[in-house]
Amino acid sequence: MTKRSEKVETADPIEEFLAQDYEHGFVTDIETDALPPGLSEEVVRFISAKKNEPEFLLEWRLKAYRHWLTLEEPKWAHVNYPKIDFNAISYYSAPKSKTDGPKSLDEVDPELLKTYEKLGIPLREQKRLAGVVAVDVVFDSVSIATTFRETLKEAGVIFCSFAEAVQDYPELVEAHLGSVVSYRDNFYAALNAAVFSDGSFCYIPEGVRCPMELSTYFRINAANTGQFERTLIIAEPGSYVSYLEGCTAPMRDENQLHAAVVELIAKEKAEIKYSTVQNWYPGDKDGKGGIYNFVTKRGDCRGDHSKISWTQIETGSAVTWKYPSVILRGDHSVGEFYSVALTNNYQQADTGTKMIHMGKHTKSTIISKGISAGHSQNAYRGLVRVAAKADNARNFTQCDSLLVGSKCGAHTFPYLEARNKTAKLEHEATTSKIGEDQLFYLAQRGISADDAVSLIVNGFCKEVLNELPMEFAVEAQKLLGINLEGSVG
Amino acid sequence: MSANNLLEHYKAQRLALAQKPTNADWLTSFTENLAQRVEAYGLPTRQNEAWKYTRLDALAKHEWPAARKQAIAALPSSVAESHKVALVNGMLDEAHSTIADLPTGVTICPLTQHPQCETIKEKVITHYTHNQPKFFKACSLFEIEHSLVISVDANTVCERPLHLHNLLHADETASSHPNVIILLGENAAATVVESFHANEQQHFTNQVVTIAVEKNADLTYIKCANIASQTHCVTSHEVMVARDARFNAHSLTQGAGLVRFEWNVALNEPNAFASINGLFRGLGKGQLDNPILIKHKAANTQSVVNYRGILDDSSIGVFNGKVKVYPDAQNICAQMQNNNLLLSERAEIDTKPVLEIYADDVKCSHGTTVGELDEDALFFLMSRGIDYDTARAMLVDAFAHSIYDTLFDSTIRQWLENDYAN
Repeated sequence: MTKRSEKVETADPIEEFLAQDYEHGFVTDIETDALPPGLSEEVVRFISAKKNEPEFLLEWRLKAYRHWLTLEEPKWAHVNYPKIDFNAISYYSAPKSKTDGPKSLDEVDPELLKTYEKLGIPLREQKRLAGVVAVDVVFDSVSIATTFRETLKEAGVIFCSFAEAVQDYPELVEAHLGSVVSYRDNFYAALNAAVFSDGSFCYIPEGVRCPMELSTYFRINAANTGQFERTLIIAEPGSYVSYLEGCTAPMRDENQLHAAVVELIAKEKAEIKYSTVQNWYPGDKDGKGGIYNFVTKRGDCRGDHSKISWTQIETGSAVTWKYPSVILRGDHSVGEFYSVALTNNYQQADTGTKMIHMGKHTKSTIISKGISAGHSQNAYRGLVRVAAKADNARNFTQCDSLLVGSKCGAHTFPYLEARNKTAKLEHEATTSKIGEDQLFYLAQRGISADDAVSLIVNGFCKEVLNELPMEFAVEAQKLLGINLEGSVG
Repeated sequence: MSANNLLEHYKAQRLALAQKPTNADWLTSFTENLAQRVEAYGLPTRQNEAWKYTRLDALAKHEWPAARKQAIAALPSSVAESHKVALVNGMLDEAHSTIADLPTGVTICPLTQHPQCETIKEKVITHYTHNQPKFFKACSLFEIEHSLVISVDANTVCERPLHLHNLLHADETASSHPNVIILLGENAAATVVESFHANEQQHFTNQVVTIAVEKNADLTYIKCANIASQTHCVTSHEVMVARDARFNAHSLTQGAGLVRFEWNVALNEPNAFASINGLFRGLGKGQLDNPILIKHKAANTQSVVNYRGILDDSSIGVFNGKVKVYPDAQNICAQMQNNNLLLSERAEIDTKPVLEIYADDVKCSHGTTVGELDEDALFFLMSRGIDYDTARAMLVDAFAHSIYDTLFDSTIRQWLENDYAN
């Protein structure tokens, strides 16, 4: 990373700002317990056996695997990448540790803890800090530690790794798993259902307001592995939870696959707020390496007056392909989607949301901000559908794109489908570049080009950043700044 | 025979045209290429993104033998003071046309009789080699040699509007392919009105209109179709706009049939301008499909797309607009707007305004709204003694009027408001 103090003013600070490196690109050298690359029914059975899973889950995995075999890789997104060889990926990689995984932080490999400190999530330190955030950490495919479990337990909140949930609360998992994103949903959802190794599980009982922010940190460490985690959040009637998710990966020349599934269930009057700061390794400045991020995220507002809100800051990954969606099933339910997607160098992003209005008096808001720089391609793709029985549905969509540099692309593909005359839908989109006059104005006031870009971009994204919890907002602002450094002049 | 097979019949019948020996080499190689395209694409289905919202069931219910030459008794009403051109089942009807007194420099005749036939052929072939047609377009282009050409020579201004009546007249189920080529030379100007009119029979019109507007020329093109439930109309407009030229289109469709007016506009050279103002009003089980593609291929080009949809009964409206800005086409201004009014419980609107941008110095925006009539406005009118139906009609007309307002020629507006809309 170029230090600002060392920076020489050049004719083209945009280029320089863009030339920043990925700061999370280290590899942790620890022994892993990994499967050789390849995918077959044996692999699925192996993962299931390794996790000591109950019968129903194995059956479900196998059904998903068999269904996946019948599917073809989808091609419709506005992205280009070489064909993925699904047999060249290892479907299970876990840090080698005691048989059943670490029971407490002290059992966690110190190397791992160092990794997290480098990433800025010092688990130990957080224990001492006033309990603001409970963290579940997923390293390669396995959840390694969950903090503050006891405090949460007192409130009745269950927050643990998916594997533990399968052991301890199989009935909850069986009742809800796949009820929002079925294994038949799409190619990557089927793949995930077959081979998912871990993830987070969260259950908020009736009437409970979760006392702290819950957080998961994902990291892909080993080479040639795919990460397939699954998150399931169940909010019982009248409950509230705010959930944060962050991701990083080491710098490697090969592309790595990340195909996660997130399922949210909000029952009557429940509210789920899900925030993501996605900073997977985006590949180097020539587009070599990087993570393929093909994620299925969906929330189900099952009860009346429920609310699901997605906030995402997408700055990483070589290819991002995800649409956090909300099914507004309950009457008066509310769906929100706030997104900032930043692409630089040769990154490609095709992201957006789906708001499916099925209940009466349902409302949704979509605010999407796309920033493209370098040679990147950034697309918003969103669907707002109003079913025939969804009286008085209301949607407001705004998607703005900002172009930095002349080699990048910004695209918008909104789909609006209304089958009810009482629907009120609005969609606006603009595309523009950072104005020379804006930069000049700031330069006049002694603000360097880098800071000016950062200021303008942060202003452009303000509506979304405001939605993030405090700790994440700071990280997100920093990320936007780092990823854009050297991009304007 | 299953529903889809009847369109297969149509496909086979069109492909047979490619087998017919021709006496021109250009035509043989052109149709051979088209036949390959038709085979390669096959019938569009709803899996195909461009046809996602279009139901072709009504088309698939009939075989569509080619319409024969027919005589008509009289022309429907025309725009006042216009030069009338009658195209019956795709064939020029000189008896009902008033093209004898065309100003010098303006020519209206079938392609093969045109004095600049060779240059026009070359232009059209080059265009369709670079922009390979898909199923319906290719099926229609088999009859390229029978196209009607409207040409305005360089530096010629055609003062009076040209009114092209596109008539479908048959005693039985029939299809027609009334292809039109419109060419405006450098600094030329013209206004062309084209209206569809069909008799009571089941009709399928598959039309390709190829338009070239040369340097600094100015074309206003008003295209309207008022279509009953037994009529189906799939039209593709391929427009090439050169440096400093202006192309203003008005796409007005209404009715209970299937109407698909596709606009493919290429702004090929700097400073070209295109605008498309559209109004679609669906009734009964009407399907009004509006695919639009504006290609900004050069710097300093500008486009405005403004569509309004009014959907009643169980009609379906589709707005599928796309603005594409090519790499290095800087200093672009593009606007796309689509507002829709749903008047009935069963009406449906699917709208998809897409921006695809590969250059950075652009100002592009799009907006879409969907809503019903404003209850407050309705109440306001009714509280002043206007009955519900009249008040509703007033509000709907007011919504539609912003599209009529973009038409500057008052005689055409009068004709549209009095004769076409009713």
